[in-house]
Amino acid sequence: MKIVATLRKVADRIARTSSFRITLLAVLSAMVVGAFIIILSDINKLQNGDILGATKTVGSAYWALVVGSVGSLRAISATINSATPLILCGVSVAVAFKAGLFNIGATGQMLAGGMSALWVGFAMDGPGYIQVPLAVLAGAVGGAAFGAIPGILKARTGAHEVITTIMLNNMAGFLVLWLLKTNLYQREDRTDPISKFVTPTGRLPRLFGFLSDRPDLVAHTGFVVAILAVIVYWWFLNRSTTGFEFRAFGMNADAAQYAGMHTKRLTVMAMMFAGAFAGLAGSAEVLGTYGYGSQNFAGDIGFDAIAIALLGRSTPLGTLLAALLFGALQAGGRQMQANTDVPIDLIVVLRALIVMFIAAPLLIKAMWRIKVAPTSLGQTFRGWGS
Amino acid sequence: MLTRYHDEEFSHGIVMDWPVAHSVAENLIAEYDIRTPSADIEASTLSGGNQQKVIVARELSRPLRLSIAAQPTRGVDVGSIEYIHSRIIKERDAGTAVLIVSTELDEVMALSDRLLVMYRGKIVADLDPKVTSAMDVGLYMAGSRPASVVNA
Repeated sequence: MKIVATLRKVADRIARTSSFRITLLAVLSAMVVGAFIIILSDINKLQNGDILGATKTVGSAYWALVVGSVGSLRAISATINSATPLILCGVSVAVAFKAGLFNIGATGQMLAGGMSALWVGFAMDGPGYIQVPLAVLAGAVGGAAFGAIPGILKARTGAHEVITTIMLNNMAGFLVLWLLKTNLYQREDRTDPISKFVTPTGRLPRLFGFLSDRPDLVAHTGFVVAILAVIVYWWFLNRSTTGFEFRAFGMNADAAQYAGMHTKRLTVMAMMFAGAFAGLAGSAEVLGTYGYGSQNFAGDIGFDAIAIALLGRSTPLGTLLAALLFGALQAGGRQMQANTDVPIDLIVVLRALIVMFIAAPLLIKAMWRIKVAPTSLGQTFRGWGS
Repeated sequence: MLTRYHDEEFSHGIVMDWPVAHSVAENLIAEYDIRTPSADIEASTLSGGNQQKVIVARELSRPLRLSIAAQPTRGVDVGSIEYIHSRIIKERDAGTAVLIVSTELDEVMALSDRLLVMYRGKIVADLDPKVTSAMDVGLYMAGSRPASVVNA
């Protein structure tokens, strides 16, 4: 009881902004529930009535999470590497959220952007200071073009972007599969769908490249691109007229229409911006992490990004922090799996719990007995069919 | 809070000028006596009368040629009603065409130069509010005519 009281006191002090506090408490709550799950999953010790041993497992698992994510330069590098595409895709989903649109299609846009970047990456050989920016830019353009499709469909026909982006994810997946089998992309000596290597000059330089004795630090300068993207997103949203239109459109589409904003153009633009950010994530993966394209280089990043944007409430800083948290969980999860018997799948459960608690702020308030005046957390998105 | 200032003097190219937008909002809040904790809170959290004042302030603060006001002072406190009325008159004096639609007879009588009464979708009377009594207007509204007109 005393611990709970102390925790509550700490939680109370952490932040004045209630939305930030709720986010933090959601993460904390998820960790607590996660602890119970770890104990329950430690069947062997439970059967022997070794509750203390099971509790120790929780401790060592969470400790491994910390060590594996920020405990060493290598761990930090792994966190950065995992977080880079998450940041970019998170911003992609966030910018669409701000305009009142659901971008479920970050995966597809990432694939489209990655394939564009890949082409510049292996077809060109030369000076890196031209090829790398060009390839990264190609990724943004490819993603934006792919993102424009659901935008145009929505503006022209009213087709709901959730449906179209999900469908386009599948199409992008098979398009990539087909492209990887064509002579243009496929590696000469291979029969499976795998692309040529990006030329050495086309690779995104490693972030810790200056430490020549540490080739194990895999983080690359895609992270710099991601940070720049967050800054651009912040400036765009808060300082530009179009960003203002995005927000007005997202908050109240009728008011935006009344004010004479071109809502159809805004819809297309929002999806294009979202696609561009996701496309950057694709180029970061292809040019930085892998150095070639495979069938599934986008993974689940596009879907994790939805949770990240939600967790960060679509604000630039929030999205960045949420993506770093998810990246840390990802990196730490591997360490946890290696050190303890707790499988990395717990990370998925933790993330799901965080999102669940975020979605139920009243639950958090009830759990931690916070008495705060009901504040509007801001509408993150509008519902179906709107 | 006060939206809709997307262009005009509030932006340079594609860059928003928030300090200007903010100071204009602060001025309007003071001018129209809008009761709000700050200029940054959402208009939807204000009371109905104050929301109304936000709308009136927003619409009357931009260059107008024609203004159609339906119940411009509904739900607004007495002091602010007078201010809104004076602002509407000022708009008229500046050459804006103003059309007031209202259920408040006092309001239309006080503000209009010309008063049209409608009954069952038709204009039944074209009056000069300075020489017409509220009683007469009421009779026209009910589809009748004042005794003075009937007898004439």
